[in-house]
Amino acid sequence: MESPRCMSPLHSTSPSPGPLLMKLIDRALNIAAGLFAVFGGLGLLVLTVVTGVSVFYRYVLRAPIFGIEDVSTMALTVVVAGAIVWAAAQAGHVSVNVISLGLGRSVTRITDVLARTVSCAMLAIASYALFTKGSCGLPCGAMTSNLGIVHTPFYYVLGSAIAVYAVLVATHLIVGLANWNGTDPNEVAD
Amino acid sequence: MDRDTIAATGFIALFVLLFIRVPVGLAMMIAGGLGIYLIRPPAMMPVIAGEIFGEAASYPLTILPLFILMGNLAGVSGMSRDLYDAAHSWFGHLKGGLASATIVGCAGFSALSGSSLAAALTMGRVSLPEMKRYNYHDGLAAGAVAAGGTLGILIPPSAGFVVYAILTEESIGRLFMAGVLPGLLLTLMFVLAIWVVVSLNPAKAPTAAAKEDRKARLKKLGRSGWIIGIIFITIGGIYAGMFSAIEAAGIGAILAFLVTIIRKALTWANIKDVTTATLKSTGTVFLILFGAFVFKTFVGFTGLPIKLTGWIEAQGLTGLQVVIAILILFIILGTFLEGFAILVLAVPLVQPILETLGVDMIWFGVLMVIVLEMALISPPVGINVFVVKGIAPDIPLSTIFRGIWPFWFAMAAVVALIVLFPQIALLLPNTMFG
Repeated sequence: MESPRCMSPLHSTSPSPGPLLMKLIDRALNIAAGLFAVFGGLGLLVLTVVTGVSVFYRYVLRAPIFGIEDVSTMALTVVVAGAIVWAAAQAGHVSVNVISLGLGRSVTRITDVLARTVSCAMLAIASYALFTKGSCGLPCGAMTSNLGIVHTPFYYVLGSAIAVYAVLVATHLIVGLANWNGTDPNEVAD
Repeated sequence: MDRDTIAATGFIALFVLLFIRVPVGLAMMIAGGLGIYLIRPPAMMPVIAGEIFGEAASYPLTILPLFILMGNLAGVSGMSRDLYDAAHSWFGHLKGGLASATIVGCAGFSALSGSSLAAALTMGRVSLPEMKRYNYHDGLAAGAVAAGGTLGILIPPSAGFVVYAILTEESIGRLFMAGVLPGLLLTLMFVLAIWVVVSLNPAKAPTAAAKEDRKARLKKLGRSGWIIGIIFITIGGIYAGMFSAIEAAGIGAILAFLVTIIRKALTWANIKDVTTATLKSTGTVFLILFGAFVFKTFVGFTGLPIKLTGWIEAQGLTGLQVVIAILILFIILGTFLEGFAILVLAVPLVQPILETLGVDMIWFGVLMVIVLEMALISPPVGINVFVVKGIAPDIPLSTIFRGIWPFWFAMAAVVALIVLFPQIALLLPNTMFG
């Protein structure tokens, strides 16, 4: 189980195509990852406090709060959205790295292109699927069971997080191609 | 294409994707999503969206970020260091005592954090320099840290058990309780393994720390009272039925937060570190879960579990024989696949078979988690070994892997004991839940 070496998708000084554009995308991705981390952190705070308050009311005051689980689950979606983006930006999504044990960079640069292309495509599909399904909202019964919180914005938050991850993988793909004959800064580490 | 061919293609595609280093969660999502498209094209998009949202908004899964947060807070507040110091103080003067103290420290930290990586990393940072100072053999020192870290996914709270519970729809609390005695037994076996290694070759632990007097030892034990107290409240609370595993996670996180404040460790830098570390670990697990559930749906669509169940039944095999065969297969898979990947890939396939044969899924869950622990330290992709290598870059990988074997065999022995005596795993959950 390995992770790529670098944290920022494009922070290398690689001779990438359109350096200014790539720099802008890099900056935008860093801002997006930071924002998602902030929202994820706030979600974590809400989740912790809500769980604590729930236990306090249930066991100390003997007065369970109706529908508090709905708040927890919706807070979890925000935490997860932040976590997915942050883990992606920090190279935290795990890969199995056995290929580099037997094969060199001449092969892995090809397999990396393939891996990043299919990953990016899947993430784009998943993001689109979340936006599509989420947009149905109330008419499709997409709401929490107790408080009736409509799922739509939370689908959108998750869809956006996965879209950011897709862009990140796309930039890895471009940087990898730009460094075809050199060292790929985003290659999975040995 | 008939469904059997699609199923076979899906599994081959998955292994190819994993081989070319597609992240585990995405590999499963791609193989599962395409498979669903081939069987029922209109279902692909709703299944992908539904499974992602379903897991991201799953109430039982709120336990994961909360326990991860608790473990991270224990690290920055110095509670984990206190635990190691206490273990060092009580065991450091014994034969191989520093390595044993590392194991005990890992076991204690595991009771506060569900992550084997966190346990290996946190304890490794404090214990490896200490063992080096006393001229411990590199293999023994690194092996103790890597193996001790694996206790993180057996001793509750355990991320492995949470994922297993979600996949099999078993009770998280029951699984947590089932992990307690095997976790303690494994800790004991690790200590025994160290004792055997050092007895056979005393040069591996040539010197020991000076024996501290009782007062000093009690003082250090007292300092670790915070962490012991939190463990007692969270795990004890679940066992006593005072609160659910999810509520215990919330209480544990709040208590760890309060201790961090009391110890004046709640700096802006620590808040940032704890939050980002928690998000990173949470994101890692959830992406795997997203993929796992899409892939699980695909496997269900192919009808493969039913066919496999029928085939196994036709062979006339007993539940025990099948369990042993599956565990051996997992041990082999563990040499090149990541533990969580095995868990999420295999459970949807083996669960129907085992349930048909009357196998207790709690018992099997404990066995499976120990086997996954073996995967964490098995060459060539044992992740805990790479964690240790990261902390001690001067120790060659080959030395670390050689140092791991005594612990690997200790794990195998515990698996054998739990197979022979299922009560080791089932006593506590049966006592508590009936």
